[in-house]
Amino acid sequence: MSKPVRILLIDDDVDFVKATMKVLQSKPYEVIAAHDGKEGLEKARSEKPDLVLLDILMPKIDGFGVADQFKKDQSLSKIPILALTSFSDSYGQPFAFEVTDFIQKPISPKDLLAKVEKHLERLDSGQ
Amino acid sequence: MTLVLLGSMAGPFTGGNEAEWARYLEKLLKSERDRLMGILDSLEEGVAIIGPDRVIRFMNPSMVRQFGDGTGSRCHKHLRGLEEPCLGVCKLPDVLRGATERSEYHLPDGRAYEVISSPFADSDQVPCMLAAFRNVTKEKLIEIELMELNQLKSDMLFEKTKELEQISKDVAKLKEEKRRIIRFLSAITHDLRAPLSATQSCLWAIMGGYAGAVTDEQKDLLERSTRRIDGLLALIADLLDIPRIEAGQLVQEMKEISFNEVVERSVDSIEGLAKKKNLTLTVGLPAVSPKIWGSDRRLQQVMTNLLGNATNYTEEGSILVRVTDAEDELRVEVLDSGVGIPPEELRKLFQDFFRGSNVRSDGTGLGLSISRRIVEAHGGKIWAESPCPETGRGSKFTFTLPKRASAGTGVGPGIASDKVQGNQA
Repeated sequence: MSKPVRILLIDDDVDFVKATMKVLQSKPYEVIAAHDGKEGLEKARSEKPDLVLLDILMPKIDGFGVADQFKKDQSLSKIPILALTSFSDSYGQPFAFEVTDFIQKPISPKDLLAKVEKHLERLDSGQ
Repeated sequence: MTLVLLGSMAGPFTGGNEAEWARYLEKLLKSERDRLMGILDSLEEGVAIIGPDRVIRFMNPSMVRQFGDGTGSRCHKHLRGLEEPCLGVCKLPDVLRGATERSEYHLPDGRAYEVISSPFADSDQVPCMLAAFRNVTKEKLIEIELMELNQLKSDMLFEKTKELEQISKDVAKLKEEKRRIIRFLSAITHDLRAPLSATQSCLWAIMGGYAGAVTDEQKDLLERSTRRIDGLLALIADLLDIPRIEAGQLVQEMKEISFNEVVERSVDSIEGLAKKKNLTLTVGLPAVSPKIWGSDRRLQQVMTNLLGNATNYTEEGSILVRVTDAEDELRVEVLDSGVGIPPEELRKLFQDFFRGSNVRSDGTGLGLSISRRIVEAHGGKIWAESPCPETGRGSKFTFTLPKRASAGTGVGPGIASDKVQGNQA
Protein backbone atom coordinates (compact mmCIF):
# COMPACT_ATOMS: atom_id res chain seq x y z
CA MET A 1 0.00 0.00 0.00
CA SER A 2 1.61 3.24 -1.10
CA LYS A 3 1.44 6.33 1.06
CA PRO A 4 -1.12 8.99 0.06
CA VAL A 5 -0.11 11.52 -2.56
CA ARG A 6 0.94 14.83 -1.11
CA ILE A 7 0.20 18.04 -2.98
CA LEU A 8 1.59 21.39 -1.89
CA LEU A 9 -0.52 24.35 -2.99
CA ILE A 10 1.37 27.65 -2.80
CA ASP A 11 -0.89 30.65 -3.44
CA ASP A 12 -1.54 33.91 -1.61
CA ASP A 13 -5.21 34.04 -2.69
CA VAL A 14 -6.95 32.36 0.28
CA ASP A 15 -10.25 32.07 -1.57
CA PHE A 16 -8.65 30.32 -4.48
CA VAL A 17 -6.79 28.05 -2.06
CA LYS A 18 -9.96 27.15 -0.21
CA ALA A 19 -11.85 26.27 -3.43
CA THR A 20 -8.92 24.37 -4.89
CA MET A 21 -8.38 22.37 -1.70
CA LYS A 22 -12.03 21.31 -1.77
CA VAL A 23 -11.58 20.03 -5.31
CA LEU A 24 -8.26 18.28 -4.68
CA GLN A 25 -9.53 16.67 -1.47
CA SER A 26 -12.19 14.85 -3.46
CA LYS A 27 -9.33 12.55 -4.44
CA PRO A 28 -7.12 10.61 -2.04
CA TYR A 29 -4.65 13.48 -1.93
CA GLU A 30 -3.19 15.06 1.15
CA VAL A 31 -3.22 18.79 0.39
CA ILE A 32 -0.93 21.21 2.20
CA ALA A 33 -1.40 24.95 1.67
CA ALA A 34 1.15 27.73 1.88
CA HIS A 35 0.29 31.41 1.46
CA ASP A 36 3.50 32.87 0.16
CA GLY A 37 6.72 31.74 -1.47
CA LYS A 38 8.71 31.66 1.75
CA GLU A 39 6.20 29.48 3.58
CA GLY A 40 5.93 27.38 0.43
CA LEU A 41 9.66 26.65 0.38
CA GLU A 42 9.70 25.80 4.08
CA LYS A 43 6.76 23.42 3.71
CA ALA A 44 8.27 21.89 0.60
CA ARG A 45 11.42 21.05 2.59
CA SER A 46 9.57 19.73 5.63
CA GLU A 47 6.66 17.94 3.97
CA LYS A 48 8.34 16.58 0.83
CA PRO A 49 5.30 16.85 -1.48
CA ASP A 50 4.87 14.70 -4.61
CA LEU A 51 3.64 17.65 -6.66
CA VAL A 52 3.48 21.41 -6.27
CA LEU A 53 0.86 23.86 -7.50
CA LEU A 54 2.62 27.20 -7.54
CA ASP A 55 1.18 30.69 -8.00
CA ILE A 56 3.39 33.16 -9.85
CA LEU A 57 2.61 36.54 -8.33
CA MET A 58 3.06 36.33 -4.57
CA PRO A 59 4.55 38.40 -1.74
CA LYS A 60 7.96 37.65 -0.18
CA ILE A 61 9.24 35.14 -2.72
CA ASP A 62 7.29 34.95 -5.96
CA GLY A 63 6.70 31.87 -8.10
CA PHE A 64 9.83 32.48 -10.15
CA GLY A 65 11.93 32.60 -7.02
CA VAL A 66 10.37 29.46 -5.59
CA ALA A 67 10.84 27.50 -8.83
CA ASP A 68 14.42 28.70 -8.90
CA GLN A 69 15.07 27.44 -5.36
CA PHE A 70 13.48 24.10 -6.24
CA LYS A 71 15.90 23.69 -9.13
CA LYS A 72 18.87 24.44 -6.89
CA ASP A 73 17.81 22.15 -4.06
CA GLN A 74 18.65 18.51 -4.83
CA SER A 75 15.91 17.19 -2.56
CA LEU A 76 13.30 19.29 -4.39
CA SER A 77 14.55 19.45 -7.97
CA LYS A 78 12.66 16.33 -9.08
CA ILE A 79 9.25 17.47 -7.81
CA PRO A 80 6.93 18.49 -10.65
CA ILE A 81 5.77 22.10 -10.45
CA LEU A 82 2.52 23.22 -12.05
CA ALA A 83 2.58 27.01 -12.28
CA LEU A 84 -0.69 28.88 -11.72
CA THR A 85 -1.28 32.25 -13.28
CA SER A 86 -4.03 34.80 -13.67
CA PHE A 87 -2.30 36.48 -16.56
CA SER A 88 -4.17 36.11 -19.79
CA ASP A 89 -0.84 35.76 -21.51
CA SER A 90 2.81 35.51 -20.79
CA TYR A 91 3.11 39.33 -20.53
CA GLY A 92 6.42 39.68 -22.25
CA GLN A 93 8.51 36.59 -21.72
CA PRO A 94 9.05 36.20 -18.01
CA PHE A 95 7.98 32.57 -18.10
CA ALA A 96 11.32 31.49 -19.43
CA PHE A 97 11.99 29.69 -16.16
CA GLU A 98 11.57 25.98 -15.86
CA VAL A 99 8.35 24.49 -14.57
CA THR A 100 6.65 21.26 -15.51
CA ASP A 101 3.42 22.78 -16.77
CA PHE A 102 1.26 25.89 -16.69
CA ILE A 103 -2.27 26.26 -15.43
CA GLN A 104 -4.22 29.32 -16.45
CA LYS A 105 -6.55 30.50 -13.70
CA PRO A 106 -9.42 29.90 -13.42
CA ILE A 107 -9.33 26.19 -14.24
CA SER A 108 -12.37 23.97 -13.98
CA PRO A 109 -12.25 21.24 -11.31
CA LYS A 110 -12.34 18.58 -14.01
CA ASP A 111 -9.38 20.08 -15.90
CA LEU A 112 -7.41 20.68 -12.71
CA LEU A 113 -7.82 17.10 -11.51
CA ALA A 114 -6.94 15.80 -14.96
CA LYS A 115 -3.74 17.82 -15.08
CA VAL A 116 -2.67 16.80 -11.58
CA GLU A 117 -3.42 13.17 -12.32
CA LYS A 118 -1.50 13.29 -15.58
CA HIS A 119 1.65 14.59 -13.89
CA LEU A 120 1.36 12.15 -10.99
CA GLU A 121 1.03 9.24 -13.42
CA ARG A 122 4.06 10.43 -15.30
CA LEU A 123 5.90 10.50 -12.00
CA ASP A 124 4.88 6.89 -11.21
CA SER A 125 5.86 5.50 -14.58
CA GLY A 126 8.88 7.70 -15.28
CA GLN A 127 10.90 7.46 -12.11
CA MET B 1 86.50 84.46 -80.19
CA THR B 2 82.86 83.58 -80.18
CA LEU B 3 80.78 84.59 -77.18
CA VAL B 4 77.38 83.11 -77.12
CA LEU B 5 74.94 84.36 -74.55
CA LEU B 6 72.25 81.81 -74.76
CA GLY B 7 68.77 83.29 -74.79
CA SER B 8 70.05 86.82 -75.32
CA MET B 9 67.96 88.98 -77.58
CA ALA B 10 71.15 90.51 -79.01
CA GLY B 11 72.04 87.33 -80.83
CA PRO B 12 75.53 85.84 -81.02
CA PHE B 13 78.60 88.08 -81.50
CA THR B 14 79.89 87.18 -84.87
CA GLY B 15 83.30 88.82 -84.56
CA GLY B 16 84.79 92.19 -85.54
CA ASN B 17 86.96 95.01 -84.12
CA GLU B 18 86.88 96.55 -80.66
CA ALA B 19 84.37 99.23 -81.57
CA GLU B 20 82.07 96.61 -82.90
CA TRP B 21 82.61 94.64 -79.66
CA ALA B 22 81.72 97.68 -77.57
CA ARG B 23 78.61 98.33 -79.63
CA TYR B 24 77.70 94.75 -79.33
CA LEU B 25 78.09 94.83 -75.57
CA GLU B 26 76.05 98.03 -75.34
CA LYS B 27 73.34 96.46 -77.46
CA LEU B 28 73.50 93.35 -75.35
CA LEU B 29 73.22 95.29 -72.08
CA LYS B 30 70.38 97.38 -73.40
CA SER B 31 68.51 94.33 -74.54
CA GLU B 32 69.02 92.64 -71.16
CA ARG B 33 67.92 95.80 -69.37
CA ASP B 34 64.86 96.10 -71.60
CA ARG B 35 63.99 92.53 -70.93
CA LEU B 36 64.28 92.96 -67.15
CA MET B 37 62.30 96.20 -67.24
CA GLY B 38 59.72 94.47 -69.43
CA ILE B 39 59.41 91.74 -66.85
CA LEU B 40 59.12 94.27 -64.05
CA ASP B 41 56.62 96.31 -66.05
CA SER B 42 54.39 93.39 -66.83
CA LEU B 43 54.62 91.83 -63.38
CA GLU B 44 51.30 91.73 -61.64
CA GLU B 45 53.15 91.88 -58.35
CA GLY B 46 54.23 95.28 -57.15
CA VAL B 47 57.96 95.54 -56.74
CA ALA B 48 59.69 98.23 -54.70
CA ILE B 49 63.26 98.84 -53.75
CA ILE B 50 63.58 100.48 -50.38
CA GLY B 51 66.79 101.96 -49.14
CA PRO B 52 68.27 101.55 -45.67
CA ASP B 53 66.89 105.01 -44.89
CA ARG B 54 63.40 103.66 -45.72
CA VAL B 55 63.23 105.83 -48.80
CA ILE B 56 61.54 104.23 -51.78
CA ARG B 57 64.11 104.05 -54.53
CA PHE B 58 62.09 102.28 -57.14
CA MET B 59 58.52 101.19 -57.85
CA ASN B 60 57.50 99.08 -60.81
CA PRO B 61 54.36 100.13 -62.77
CA SER B 62 52.13 97.66 -60.95
CA MET B 63 53.35 99.04 -57.60
CA VAL B 64 52.64 102.59 -58.84
CA ARG B 65 49.19 101.53 -60.04
CA GLN B 66 48.32 100.13 -56.65
CA PHE B 67 49.95 102.65 -54.32
CA GLY B 68 50.65 105.73 -56.45
CA ASP B 69 54.17 106.88 -57.33
CA GLY B 70 56.08 107.27 -54.10
CA THR B 71 59.63 107.18 -55.32
CA GLY B 72 61.68 109.32 -52.96
CA SER B 73 59.17 109.12 -50.09
CA ARG B 74 59.54 107.15 -46.91
CA CYS B 75 57.93 103.80 -47.36
CA HIS B 76 55.82 103.86 -44.17
CA LYS B 77 54.53 107.31 -45.04
CA HIS B 78 53.72 106.50 -48.62
CA LEU B 79 52.41 102.98 -48.29
CA ARG B 80 50.57 103.24 -45.00
CA GLY B 81 50.33 106.94 -44.19
CA LEU B 82 52.35 106.54 -41.00
CA GLU B 83 54.82 109.05 -39.60
CA GLU B 84 56.93 106.36 -37.94
CA PRO B 85 58.20 103.05 -39.38
CA CYS B 86 55.56 100.32 -39.27
CA LEU B 87 55.71 98.97 -35.75
CA GLY B 88 56.18 95.26 -35.50
CA VAL B 89 55.78 94.76 -39.22
CA CYS B 90 58.83 96.41 -40.73
CA LYS B 91 61.31 93.77 -41.84
CA LEU B 92 63.98 96.17 -43.03
CA PRO B 93 66.53 95.60 -40.25
CA ASP B 94 66.30 91.84 -40.67
CA VAL B 95 66.53 92.02 -44.43
CA LEU B 96 69.54 94.30 -44.24
CA ARG B 97 71.16 91.62 -42.10
CA GLY B 98 70.57 89.19 -44.97
CA ALA B 99 67.25 87.57 -44.17
CA THR B 100 64.38 86.98 -46.56
CA GLU B 101 61.12 87.72 -44.82
CA ARG B 102 57.52 87.05 -45.56
CA SER B 103 54.84 89.28 -44.11
CA GLU B 104 51.27 90.34 -44.57
CA TYR B 105 49.97 93.87 -44.85
CA HIS B 106 46.35 94.66 -44.23
CA LEU B 107 45.47 98.16 -45.31
CA PRO B 108 42.66 100.15 -43.74
CA ASP B 109 40.73 100.12 -47.05
CA GLY B 110 40.52 96.33 -46.88
CA ARG B 111 43.31 95.46 -49.28
CA ALA B 112 45.62 92.70 -48.20
CA TYR B 113 49.15 92.07 -49.43
CA GLU B 114 51.57 89.28 -49.05
CA VAL B 115 55.04 90.76 -49.09
CA ILE B 116 58.29 88.93 -49.70
CA SER B 117 61.26 91.08 -48.68
CA SER B 118 64.77 90.09 -49.58
CA PRO B 119 68.19 91.76 -49.51
CA PHE B 120 69.14 93.58 -52.65
CA ALA B 121 72.18 95.59 -53.63
CA ASP B 122 71.03 98.55 -55.68
CA SER B 123 72.92 99.80 -58.72
CA ASP B 124 74.99 102.09 -56.42
CA GLN B 125 75.91 99.01 -54.36
CA VAL B 126 73.91 100.30 -51.34
CA PRO B 127 72.32 97.38 -49.52
CA CYS B 128 68.60 97.77 -49.94
CA MET B 129 65.43 95.80 -49.53
CA LEU B 130 63.61 94.39 -52.51
CA ALA B 131 59.93 93.98 -51.63
CA ALA B 132 57.47 92.12 -53.82
CA PHE B 133 53.85 92.95 -53.04
CA ARG B 134 51.26 90.41 -54.04
CA ASN B 135 47.66 91.53 -53.76
CA VAL B 136 45.89 88.78 -51.84
CA THR B 137 42.68 90.71 -51.07
CA LYS B 138 40.49 88.31 -53.05
CA GLU B 139 42.17 85.26 -51.60
CA LYS B 140 41.75 86.66 -48.13
CA LEU B 141 38.08 87.34 -48.81
CA ILE B 142 37.60 83.80 -50.08
CA GLU B 143 39.49 82.53 -47.06
CA ILE B 144 37.21 84.51 -44.77
CA GLU B 145 34.15 83.32 -46.64
CA LEU B 146 35.37 79.77 -46.40
CA MET B 147 35.99 80.22 -42.72
CA GLU B 148 32.53 81.65 -42.26
CA LEU B 149 31.08 78.83 -44.33
CA ASN B 150 32.93 76.30 -42.24
CA GLN B 151 31.69 77.97 -39.12
CA LEU B 152 28.16 77.86 -40.50
CA LYS B 153 28.60 74.23 -41.39
CA SER B 154 29.83 73.32 -37.97
CA ASP B 155 27.04 75.40 -36.41
CA MET B 156 24.50 73.54 -38.49
CA LEU B 157 26.15 70.24 -37.73
CA PHE B 158 26.03 71.06 -34.05
CA GLU B 159 22.37 71.96 -34.29
CA LYS B 160 21.55 68.81 -36.26
CA THR B 161 23.45 66.74 -33.76
CA LYS B 162 21.48 68.36 -30.99
CA GLU B 163 18.26 67.68 -32.86
CA LEU B 164 19.25 64.05 -33.38
CA GLU B 165 20.12 63.72 -29.72
CA GLN B 166 16.70 65.11 -28.85
CA ILE B 167 15.02 62.70 -31.26
CA SER B 168 16.83 59.70 -29.85
CA LYS B 169 15.91 60.90 -26.36
CA ASP B 170 12.28 61.17 -27.46
CA VAL B 171 12.40 57.71 -28.96
CA ALA B 172 13.86 56.30 -25.76
CA LYS B 173 11.13 58.08 -23.81
CA LEU B 174 8.45 56.63 -26.09
CA LYS B 175 9.93 53.15 -25.75
CA GLU B 176 9.97 53.51 -21.99
CA GLU B 177 6.38 54.76 -22.15
CA LYS B 178 5.42 51.70 -24.18
CA ARG B 179 7.08 49.40 -21.67
CA ARG B 180 5.31 51.27 -18.89
CA ILE B 181 1.95 50.83 -20.62
CA ILE B 182 2.54 47.13 -21.08
CA ARG B 183 3.60 46.70 -17.45
CA PHE B 184 0.61 48.72 -16.31
CA LEU B 185 -1.77 46.68 -18.45
CA SER B 186 -0.26 43.44 -17.20
CA ALA B 187 -0.79 44.59 -13.64
CA ILE B 188 -4.41 45.57 -14.39
CA THR B 189 -5.03 42.28 -16.16
CA HIS B 190 -3.79 40.42 -13.15
CA ASP B 191 -5.70 42.47 -10.61
CA LEU B 192 -8.96 42.28 -12.54
CA ARG B 193 -8.66 38.60 -13.28
CA ALA B 194 -7.49 37.37 -9.86
CA PRO B 195 -10.71 38.04 -7.90
CA LEU B 196 -12.81 36.78 -10.79
CA SER B 197 -10.89 33.55 -11.05
CA ALA B 198 -11.08 33.04 -7.28
CA THR B 199 -14.85 33.55 -7.48
CA GLN B 200 -15.05 31.27 -10.46
CA SER B 201 -13.05 28.58 -8.65
CA CYS B 202 -15.39 28.77 -5.66
CA LEU B 203 -18.50 28.58 -7.83
CA TRP B 204 -17.10 25.67 -9.81
CA ALA B 205 -16.21 23.84 -6.62
CA ILE B 206 -19.80 24.22 -5.36
CA MET B 207 -21.29 23.39 -8.74
CA GLY B 208 -19.18 20.26 -9.04
CA GLY B 209 -20.46 19.03 -5.69
CA TYR B 210 -17.06 19.33 -4.00
CA ALA B 211 -18.64 21.20 -1.10
CA GLY B 212 -21.71 19.04 -0.68
CA ALA B 213 -24.68 17.98 -2.77
CA VAL B 214 -26.23 20.52 -5.12
CA THR B 215 -29.76 20.54 -6.42
CA ASP B 216 -30.46 20.89 -10.13
CA GLU B 217 -31.94 24.31 -9.52
CA GLN B 218 -28.83 25.47 -7.67
CA LYS B 219 -26.69 24.01 -10.40
CA ASP B 220 -28.62 25.95 -13.02
CA LEU B 221 -28.11 29.23 -11.18
CA LEU B 222 -24.44 28.49 -10.62
CA GLU B 223 -24.02 27.67 -14.28
CA ARG B 224 -25.51 31.05 -15.19
CA SER B 225 -23.09 32.79 -12.80
CA THR B 226 -20.02 31.01 -14.07
CA ARG B 227 -21.00 31.69 -17.67
CA ARG B 228 -21.22 35.41 -16.92
CA ILE B 229 -17.85 35.36 -15.19
CA ASP B 230 -16.38 33.56 -18.17
CA GLY B 231 -17.74 36.32 -20.38
CA LEU B 232 -16.26 38.98 -18.13
CA LEU B 233 -12.86 37.27 -18.05
CA ALA B 234 -12.89 37.08 -21.84
CA LEU B 235 -13.88 40.74 -22.11
CA ILE B 236 -11.05 41.80 -19.81
CA ALA B 237 -8.59 39.74 -21.81
CA ASP B 238 -9.86 41.20 -25.09
CA LEU B 239 -10.02 44.80 -23.86
CA LEU B 240 -6.47 44.68 -22.63
CA ASP B 241 -5.28 42.87 -25.73
CA ILE B 242 -5.98 45.88 -27.94
CA PRO B 243 -3.61 48.37 -26.29
CA ARG B 244 -1.04 45.64 -25.85
CA ILE B 245 -1.07 44.84 -29.55
CA GLU B 246 -1.01 48.55 -30.34
CA ALA B 247 1.93 49.12 -28.01
CA GLY B 248 3.85 46.76 -30.26
CA GLN B 249 4.08 43.84 -27.87
CA LEU B 250 3.68 41.36 -30.72
CA VAL B 251 6.94 42.35 -32.30
CA GLN B 252 8.78 41.20 -29.18
CA GLU B 253 7.14 37.81 -29.40
CA MET B 254 7.90 37.19 -33.05
CA LYS B 255 10.07 34.27 -34.06
CA GLU B 256 10.13 31.66 -36.79
CA ILE B 257 7.08 29.46 -36.41
CA SER B 258 5.76 26.42 -38.17
CA PHE B 259 2.32 27.46 -39.34
CA ASN B 260 0.66 24.04 -39.70
CA GLU B 261 1.08 23.47 -35.98
CA VAL B 262 -0.68 26.75 -35.21
CA VAL B 263 -3.63 25.62 -37.31
CA GLU B 264 -3.65 22.14 -35.82
CA ARG B 265 -3.73 23.44 -32.27
CA SER B 266 -6.60 25.79 -33.10
CA VAL B 267 -8.53 23.01 -34.83
CA ASP B 268 -8.03 20.83 -31.75
CA SER B 269 -9.61 23.49 -29.57
CA ILE B 270 -12.89 23.61 -31.53
CA GLU B 271 -13.08 20.01 -32.68
CA GLY B 272 -15.22 19.07 -29.67
CA LEU B 273 -17.85 21.70 -30.36
CA ALA B 274 -17.92 20.92 -34.09
CA LYS B 275 -18.46 17.26 -33.34
CA LYS B 276 -21.21 18.11 -30.87
CA LYS B 277 -22.98 20.14 -33.56
CA ASN B 278 -22.43 17.37 -36.12
CA LEU B 279 -20.43 19.65 -38.43
CA THR B 280 -17.96 18.27 -40.93
CA LEU B 281 -14.58 19.83 -40.22
CA THR B 282 -12.09 19.63 -43.08
CA VAL B 283 -8.52 20.89 -42.82
CA GLY B 284 -6.29 21.36 -45.87
CA LEU B 285 -2.67 22.06 -44.99
CA PRO B 286 0.44 22.25 -47.18
CA ALA B 287 2.45 19.01 -47.18
CA VAL B 288 5.44 20.90 -45.83
CA SER B 289 4.55 23.16 -42.94
CA PRO B 290 5.26 26.75 -44.03
CA LYS B 291 7.72 28.67 -41.86
CA ILE B 292 6.80 32.23 -41.14
CA TRP B 293 7.99 35.00 -38.86
CA GLY B 294 5.31 35.77 -36.33
CA SER B 295 3.82 35.43 -32.88
CA ASP B 296 2.77 31.83 -32.38
CA ARG B 297 0.33 32.63 -29.61
CA ARG B 298 -1.31 35.56 -31.39
CA LEU B 299 -1.73 33.76 -34.72
CA GLN B 300 -3.30 30.89 -32.87
CA GLN B 301 -5.64 33.46 -31.35
CA VAL B 302 -6.66 34.59 -34.86
CA MET B 303 -7.21 31.00 -36.01
CA THR B 304 -9.20 30.11 -32.90
CA ASN B 305 -11.30 33.26 -33.31
CA LEU B 306 -12.14 32.50 -36.96
CA LEU B 307 -12.78 28.81 -36.31
CA GLY B 308 -14.83 29.61 -33.22
CA ASN B 309 -17.00 32.06 -35.18
CA ALA B 310 -17.44 29.56 -38.00
CA THR B 311 -18.53 26.89 -35.53
CA ASN B 312 -20.83 29.20 -33.57
CA TYR B 313 -22.62 30.54 -36.63
CA THR B 314 -23.04 27.22 -38.42
CA GLU B 315 -25.88 24.95 -37.38
CA GLU B 316 -25.43 22.31 -40.03
CA GLY B 317 -23.11 21.51 -42.87
CA SER B 318 -19.37 21.98 -42.87
CA ILE B 319 -16.37 24.08 -42.01
CA LEU B 320 -13.30 24.09 -44.21
CA VAL B 321 -9.87 25.40 -43.25
CA ARG B 322 -7.42 25.82 -46.08
CA VAL B 323 -3.85 27.05 -45.96
CA THR B 324 -2.14 27.90 -49.25
CA ASP B 325 1.61 28.37 -49.32
CA ALA B 326 2.20 30.92 -52.09
CA GLU B 327 5.59 32.26 -53.09
CA ASP B 328 5.71 35.30 -50.84
CA GLU B 329 2.67 34.93 -48.64
CA LEU B 330 0.52 32.46 -46.78
CA ARG B 331 -3.19 32.52 -47.48
CA VAL B 332 -5.47 31.15 -44.80
CA GLU B 333 -9.15 30.61 -45.55
CA VAL B 334 -11.96 29.56 -43.26
CA LEU B 335 -15.19 28.64 -45.07
CA ASP B 336 -18.46 27.84 -43.36
CA SER B 337 -21.98 26.93 -44.44
CA GLY B 338 -23.55 29.02 -41.70
CA VAL B 339 -25.99 31.91 -41.51
CA GLY B 340 -23.74 34.27 -43.43
CA ILE B 341 -23.30 38.02 -43.04
CA PRO B 342 -25.52 40.74 -44.58
CA PRO B 343 -23.52 42.68 -47.22
CA GLU B 344 -23.87 46.03 -45.40
CA GLU B 345 -22.25 44.53 -42.30
CA LEU B 346 -19.23 43.01 -44.03
CA ARG B 347 -17.17 46.19 -43.86
CA LYS B 348 -17.95 46.83 -40.22
CA LEU B 349 -17.12 43.33 -39.06
CA PHE B 350 -13.56 44.17 -38.08
CA GLN B 351 -14.41 47.27 -36.05
CA ASP B 352 -14.34 47.33 -32.25
CA PHE B 353 -17.56 46.17 -30.58
CA PHE B 354 -19.39 45.69 -33.83
CA ARG B 355 -22.33 43.35 -33.31
CA GLY B 356 -23.95 42.04 -36.44
CA SER B 357 -27.69 41.43 -36.70
CA ASN B 358 -27.06 37.69 -36.90
CA VAL B 359 -24.94 37.62 -33.75
CA ARG B 360 -26.25 35.23 -31.15
CA SER B 361 -23.26 34.01 -29.16
CA ASP B 362 -22.20 35.96 -26.10
CA GLY B 363 -18.82 36.99 -27.45
CA THR B 364 -17.13 40.24 -26.53
CA GLY B 365 -17.54 41.94 -29.89
CA LEU B 366 -13.78 42.39 -30.04
CA GLY B 367 -12.66 39.07 -31.48
CA LEU B 368 -12.47 40.10 -35.13
CA SER B 369 -11.09 43.56 -34.42
CA ILE B 370 -8.30 41.96 -32.39
CA SER B 371 -7.69 39.43 -35.16
CA ARG B 372 -7.42 42.28 -37.65
CA ARG B 373 -4.84 44.06 -35.45
CA ILE B 374 -2.84 40.88 -35.07
CA VAL B 375 -2.84 40.14 -38.82
CA GLU B 376 -1.93 43.75 -39.64
CA ALA B 377 0.87 43.73 -37.08
CA HIS B 378 2.27 40.82 -39.07
CA GLY B 379 2.05 42.85 -42.27
CA GLY B 380 -0.94 40.89 -43.58
CA LYS B 381 -4.56 41.55 -44.50
CA ILE B 382 -7.84 40.06 -43.40
CA TRP B 383 -11.25 40.21 -45.03
CA ALA B 384 -14.61 38.49 -45.16
CA GLU B 385 -16.91 37.44 -47.98
CA SER B 386 -20.52 36.34 -47.71
CA PRO B 387 -21.90 34.32 -49.24
CA CYS B 388 -18.73 32.34 -49.78
CA PRO B 389 -17.94 32.79 -53.51
CA GLU B 390 -17.04 29.10 -53.83
CA THR B 391 -20.05 27.49 -52.19
CA GLY B 392 -22.63 30.23 -52.66
CA ARG B 393 -23.60 30.14 -48.99
CA GLY B 394 -22.32 30.86 -45.51
CA SER B 395 -19.23 33.03 -45.33
CA LYS B 396 -15.55 32.94 -46.00
CA PHE B 397 -12.83 34.65 -43.99
CA THR B 398 -9.39 35.04 -45.51
CA PHE B 399 -6.15 36.39 -44.15
CA THR B 400 -2.69 36.65 -45.62
CA LEU B 401 0.70 36.67 -43.92
CA PRO B 402 3.86 37.80 -45.68
CA LYS B 403 6.54 35.10 -45.61
CA ARG B 404 9.54 37.38 -45.65
CA ALA B 405 10.51 38.41 -42.16
CA SER B 406 11.12 42.00 -43.20
CA ALA B 407 7.60 42.46 -44.47
CA GLY B 408 5.91 42.13 -41.14
CA THR B 409 8.27 42.54 -38.25
CA GLY B 410 8.82 46.24 -38.64
CA VAL B 411 5.13 46.86 -38.87
CA GLY B 412 3.95 48.04 -35.55
CA PRO B 413 0.48 48.38 -34.20
CA GLY B 414 -2.51 48.69 -36.46
CA ILE B 415 -3.44 51.97 -34.81
CA ALA B 416 -4.25 54.16 -37.75
CA SER B 417 -5.68 51.32 -39.66
CA ASP B 418 -9.30 51.92 -40.41
CA LYS B 419 -9.04 50.45 -43.85
CA VAL B 420 -11.12 47.39 -43.22
CA GLN B 421 -10.97 44.91 -45.98
CA GLY B 422 -14.30 43.65 -47.13
CA ASN B 423 -16.11 42.26 -50.07
CA GLN B 424 -18.38 44.73 -51.74
CA ALA B 425 -20.57 41.99 -53.14
